[in-house]
Amino acid sequence: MRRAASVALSLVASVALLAGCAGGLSDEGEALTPEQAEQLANARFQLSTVDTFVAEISVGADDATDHLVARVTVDPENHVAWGTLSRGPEKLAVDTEIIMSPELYATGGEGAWQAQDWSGETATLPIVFSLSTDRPENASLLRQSDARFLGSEDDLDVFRLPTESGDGSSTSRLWLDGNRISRLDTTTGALTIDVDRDADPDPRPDAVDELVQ
Amino acid sequence: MTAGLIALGLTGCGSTGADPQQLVRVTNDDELAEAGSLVADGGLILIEEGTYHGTLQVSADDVTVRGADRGAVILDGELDASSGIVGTGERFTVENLTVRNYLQNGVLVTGVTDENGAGVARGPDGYLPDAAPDPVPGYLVQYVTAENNGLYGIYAFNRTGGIIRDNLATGGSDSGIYVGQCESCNALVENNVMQWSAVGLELANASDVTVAGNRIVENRIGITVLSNYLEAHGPTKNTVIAGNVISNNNTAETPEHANGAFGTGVGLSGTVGARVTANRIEGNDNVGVWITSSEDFAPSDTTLENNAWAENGLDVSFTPSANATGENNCVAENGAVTDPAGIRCDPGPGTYVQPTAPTGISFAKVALPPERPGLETVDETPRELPDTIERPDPASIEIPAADLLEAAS
Repeated sequence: MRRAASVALSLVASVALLAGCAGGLSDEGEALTPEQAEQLANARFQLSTVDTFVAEISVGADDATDHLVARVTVDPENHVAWGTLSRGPEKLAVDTEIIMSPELYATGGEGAWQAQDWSGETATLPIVFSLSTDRPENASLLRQSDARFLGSEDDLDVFRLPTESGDGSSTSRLWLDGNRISRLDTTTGALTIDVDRDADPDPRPDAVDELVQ
Repeated sequence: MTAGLIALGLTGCGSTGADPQQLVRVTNDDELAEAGSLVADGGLILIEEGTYHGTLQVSADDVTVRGADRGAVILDGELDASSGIVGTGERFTVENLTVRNYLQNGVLVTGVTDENGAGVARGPDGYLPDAAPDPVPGYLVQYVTAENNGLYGIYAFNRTGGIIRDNLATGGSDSGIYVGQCESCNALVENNVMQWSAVGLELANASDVTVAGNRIVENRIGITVLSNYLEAHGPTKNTVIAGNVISNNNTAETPEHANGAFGTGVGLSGTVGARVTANRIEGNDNVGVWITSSEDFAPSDTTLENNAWAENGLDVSFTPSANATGENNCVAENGAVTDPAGIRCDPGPGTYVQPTAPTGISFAKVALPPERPGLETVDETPRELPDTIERPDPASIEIPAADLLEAAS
C-alpha cells in the first residue's frame, strides 16, 4: 500500500535519467524537513483541485529539428488536454492544434483530427498529466526517499524528485510556489513544463470527448 | 530555506509564555492553534461547537482533547492543512469531534517527534529497528468521525497501550484507521465503523493488536495486516481479528488502492500468528481472506476458524511467494471455498490473482455518511488513561449479526 504510493513521484522523475548540473541551486541538496516533505507531498494533489490549468511543455533544445512545444489547457480530472503543438526549431516551427490524453493524441483541427499513439519525441508530452494526482503523496515516505531540497530561486522552492531505486539519480526537479506547482524540468534541458496560472484556458474542442471514449 | 523552516517551526511549537492551564477552551481558529501550547499535563482542551481550520498539536502528557458535540465540532483542513490533531504526549485522548479534508491525517497519535518537537510518523531513516525510539504509552481515540482525509483518518504510530473505538472512519485515500510500527502495540480496535476508504483498517509492523466488533464494509479492501521494511519492527505478529462484520468491500466510489486491491475482506501479508475467528465475512467479490507474503516476510502460524462465510468470490486464498512460503498456516473452515481447494494446514500455493480494480474517485469526493452518536455526557473532567490495556479473549467472542453497528444512531 505504501510503497506504491511512495513511487508515484518517482514515476514523474523518470522522464530523464541523465546526469546534469543545476544552475544556482545545490547539486546534492538537503534531506527534506517535515515541512518540505509535506509541501512536496501536497503539490500534485493541489493542482488536481482546479478545473483546468494551462501548461507549456517544451521538449529538446530550441534550435533542434525535433524540438516540440505544446501549449495546452489541461483538465486534470478527466486527463485530457487541448491546445497548440509547435514542431521544429523555434524560428521555423510549424503549428497545429492538438488534443491529447495519456493514451493517445490527435492533431489537425476541427474536421481533420487524426489520432495517433504516442511515439518518438512526442511520447514525452503526456508527462503533463502526471503533474496532478487525486491524492497527496505520503510525506513520511518522501522523507525516507532520495528526494532533496535543492534551494530557492526566483521565489520558488526547488526539489529533486525521488527515484524508485533510491540512488539519487533523478535529474527531474519540481519548482513550487508554496504548495503550487510552477514548473517541472530536468537539469539536462530535455524537458520543461511551465504551469501558467494566470492564463485563460482555451475553449474545449468537441473532439476531446471523442478522443477519450 | 531549511533554516527558515526550522525557525518557523520553532516559533510555531514554542510556548506562548502563559502558565499552563488545566482547562483550555477553543472557540475560534486562533485558539485552536494555541491550545496545544497552553494546556498543562493532565489538562483538557474543550472545543466548542463550530467549524475550525488548521491543526491542533499537543505534546503534554495526559491531555484530553474533547469536542462539545461529535457532529458539530468540525476540524476541516479544507484540502490545505496537513493533519487535524497531532498528539505526542503520553496517555493522550481525542474524543467526540469530526476531522475532515486534511491532506495527510485526521488524527495522528505518534511516538516520534522531529527536531522541533512536532509529531511525525517516522523519521527519514525508515526501517532501522535499533534506531526506533521507545514507544510512547497510552492513547484513546473514541467517538471521532474521520472523513475524507488524504492519507489516514486515525493514525497511531510508535505507540503502545491504545484503544481506538466507537469511531467512524471513511473516505481515506489509504486507510480509515492505521496502526503502525509497534513491536508490542497492546492495542484494541473495537466497535468502529470503517467504510468507503481504499482500506478500512491497516496494521503495519504492528504486533499484539486485537480488532474486535467492528463494522468494516464497502471499502476496496476491508483490513490489511502486513509486514514491511518501511517501518521498524516487522513482521507483524499475533494479530487477532474477531467478531467483526467484514462485508461487501467492493465499492468503486472510493479512492483507488495503491496496489490495485478490490473486493477483498482481509489481506494477511507476511504476518506471523494471525488469528481470524468469529467474523462474518460476506459478499466480498474477489476473496474473503487472502494470505500471502510481503517482500521476504512469510505468512506463518495463521489460524482461520469459526468464521461465517457467504457470497465471497473465494472465501480464502493462500498464495505465498516461492521464497517466503511460511509454515503452520491452518484454515479450519468446513465448507469454505478455498484456493487451493480444501485448505487445511500448510497447503500448497493457490493460483488466485487480483483482478483489475475499477476506477475510483478522489478522497475529497467521497460522500459524507450520516452522523453517528457522540458521548452521552460532555463535562470538563479529563480522562485518566492507563499505560497498558486489557484486550478481550477471542475465545469469548461470537459471530456478530450482519447489521452490527449498521444504524447510524
